[in-house]
Amino acid sequence: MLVSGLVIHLEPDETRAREALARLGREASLELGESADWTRVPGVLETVDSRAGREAVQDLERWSGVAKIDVVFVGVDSNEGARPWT
Amino acid sequence: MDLNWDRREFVKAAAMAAATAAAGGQASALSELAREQGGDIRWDKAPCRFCGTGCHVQVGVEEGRVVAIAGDEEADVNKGLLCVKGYNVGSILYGEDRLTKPLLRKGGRYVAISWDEAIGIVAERVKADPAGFAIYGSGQWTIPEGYACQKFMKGGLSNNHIDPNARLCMASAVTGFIATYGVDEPASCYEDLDECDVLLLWGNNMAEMHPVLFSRVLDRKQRGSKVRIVDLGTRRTRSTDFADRYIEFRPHTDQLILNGIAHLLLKEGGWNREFVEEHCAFRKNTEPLSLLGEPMSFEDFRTALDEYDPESVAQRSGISVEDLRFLAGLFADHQLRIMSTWCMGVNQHTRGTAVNTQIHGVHLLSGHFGRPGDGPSSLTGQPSACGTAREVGTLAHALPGGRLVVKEEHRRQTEELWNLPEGRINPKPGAHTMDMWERFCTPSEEGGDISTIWVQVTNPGQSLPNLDRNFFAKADLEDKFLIVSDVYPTATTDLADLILPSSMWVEKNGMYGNSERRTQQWFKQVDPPGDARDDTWQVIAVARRLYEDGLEGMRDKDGRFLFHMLDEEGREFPAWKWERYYDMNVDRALFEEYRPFSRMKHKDLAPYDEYVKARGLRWPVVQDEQGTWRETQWRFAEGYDPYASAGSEFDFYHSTTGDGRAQIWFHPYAAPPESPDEQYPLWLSTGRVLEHWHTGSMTARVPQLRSAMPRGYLEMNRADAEARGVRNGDRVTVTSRRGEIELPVWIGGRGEPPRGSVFVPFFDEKALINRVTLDAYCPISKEPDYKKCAVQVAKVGAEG
Repeated sequence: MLVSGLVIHLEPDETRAREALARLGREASLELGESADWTRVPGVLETVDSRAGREAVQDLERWSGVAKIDVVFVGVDSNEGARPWT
Repeated sequence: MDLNWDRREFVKAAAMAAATAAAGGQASALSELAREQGGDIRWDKAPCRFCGTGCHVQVGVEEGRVVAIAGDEEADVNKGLLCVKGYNVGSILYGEDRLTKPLLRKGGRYVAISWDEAIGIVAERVKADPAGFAIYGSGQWTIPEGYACQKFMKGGLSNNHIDPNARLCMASAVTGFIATYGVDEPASCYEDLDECDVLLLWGNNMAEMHPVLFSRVLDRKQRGSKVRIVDLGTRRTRSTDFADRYIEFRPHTDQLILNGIAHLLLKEGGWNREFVEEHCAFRKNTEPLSLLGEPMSFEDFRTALDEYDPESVAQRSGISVEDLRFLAGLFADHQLRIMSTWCMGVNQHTRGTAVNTQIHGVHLLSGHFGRPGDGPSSLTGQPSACGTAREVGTLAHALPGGRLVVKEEHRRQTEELWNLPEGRINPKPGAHTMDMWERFCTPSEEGGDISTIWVQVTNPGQSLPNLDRNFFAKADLEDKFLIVSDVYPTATTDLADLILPSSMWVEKNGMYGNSERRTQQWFKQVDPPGDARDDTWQVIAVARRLYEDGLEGMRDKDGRFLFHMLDEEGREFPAWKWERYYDMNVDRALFEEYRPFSRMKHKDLAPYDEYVKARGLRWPVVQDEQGTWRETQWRFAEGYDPYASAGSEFDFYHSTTGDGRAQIWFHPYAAPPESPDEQYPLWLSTGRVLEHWHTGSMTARVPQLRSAMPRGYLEMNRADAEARGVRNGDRVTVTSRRGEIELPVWIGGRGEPPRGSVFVPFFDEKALINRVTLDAYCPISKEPDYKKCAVQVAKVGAEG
């Protein structure tokens, strides 16, 4: 499993942002936190591995109302070996 | 209790704490969280291992292994944010093929040997030819590592053949700063990103190369700020996607554009007469070119710019007259705050020094200097190009603290601080990078007088230009000996005679210095694998072996060992014994020995322990009346820089003219050494990508980075591709007068070159684009031009 800490930046359009927030709240792999600034929402994403984590973030970034996502934390799974180049 | 469940919940809590803090909310610090939750993860700070931005991370360690990485919300540089490389930095330690034993090439294969034997082999190579021994180091050396090598070579062996890979990336910025201000490194700081009205990118793909810094400006835009991004480049990049205006110019014509801006400022009155008269002087170059040139009058400067009228600049550079007027108009508006950034596009240039001085010049001419958000700011590619290569001065001509080997006074100062006999330091500059490798790859009987190179923390077998000539030629020279200290097998270790396994990043203590003069410190947090050991230890161990063998240079003038250190009880500390190495903080001892050098050019560093407490401090760091160590945001500006004299407003106190003035240079346009022609009709530019750091030797071991960007490619304009019958994904050969490689084509990808240009990243060790590149370099900085050479591209299998 990979645990990622995210800052989800929502678009300045409040209606679109609120819709995105509601939809994000229904995402099973994502736990949202609280923030003083509603355009930046902290969240924790759990995925089976790092590739799935990256794809999930890319997918979320394409959502309407989501401006961009910063990944600020990664729990490294020791079972996932890093491979050499060749 | 299910321990796995506990750990997972704890990691999730830590992830939420980091995200909440980065989002601007209140969260427990990670260390507090660990205490409250009873987790077993121990957290400590470290700067990121990769680029020159200098982000800080929090490293989570459990059972001797890095298990989590968080952006450090206490760090001013990144405020908790990280880029894709940063949040994967922990995984670079755990590639399956880490080097764990010293390896000696015997009969065409490598055999594992002991450290004792390995140290002995290095020492014998030194003794066999002390003047032909060289060290090729790095802007990734920690400050103590670079300092130890510097002292070993220049203070011990009286040998100045030491140069860093920073020669390949930052040398033109160094010469640009010295030629302009008389002293190296930026006057600016990252707060300029938060204050500027205009961010001007000079051939700088900041979105991919310095994404955390770029995000500071994007974040402002997103919050409604009117900050504008202007992207000047020779190809569209990811930065272009975010720019308010993109101005595309023909390769190598940046010199014309800068002269064109200066021309318009003078012609149409946009220059800042008061600032210039008060703080600047004018300078032009000599023949042959020189770092300090000669003075010129304002009128001569104005006349020299006559030929750079908008129409001729537009015609030669490919930008429109309107774009040139737009740029000059920005500088003519003295209310605006303009931040210029640049990196390799300007530095890797056969007129790199000139273009650097010209960027400083348009800022000075228009008075856009020294206010928050208003000034030129070069960015670095390596984490300690500034802290180590430039400040410790691990360059062939330099000594620590901005001292020069050619100056007798500087040699005496250094000998005194190192307690060496007078005359120990050699006055003749050593071989710079390009010279070093040429002399190493030339047969001894033909004058190739460098017989051994010890490479540390870098991968020249992939990063040198024109590799067949400057690196692979060594393969045929049996009397030449290549020693490589590294963490993974690379294109360089493939040719090594002796491989020394090194500790990396948080497997050792360290200090870096980033792009904004910020010196950073971290402690060792995990053990290195197998028999891997610190680079500093390796150097001290070789020095000690030479000392024991009677080499005079390894003694100071009192007969003590060159790396004489005392422990807390005042006894000599045996830093050469690995089993004792971490009984004392050797980094602290070396740093405190080095620190007096920092005051010689007003780059004052604080005591080591101040850096332990901070997320880095920007020099000059001086103590105030209350005893607090204060960093400096903007240099030369009164009110910010403690060394700027009262009432001066701006004080360029290392002015080359000795009168407190900065130099505005005139440089005529000079043609590139190679241009496209009938046989090689395309420009080739090379560079980096977001996911991989430089030659990819670390990032390629991180599965998520490798899978995101698995292979090198050639970016090509659609029209050029169609003309060659090439479609997306087809394999092509890219050929220059020097070499040829094969790559897949990417059309309409991340970057988009204009017709007549192609781009290839250099991270892929299976497709070494530097077999193709040109090794012509700036005559002043000696930095090669990786951004422009002539190539042909043909579809694999196509006839003709």
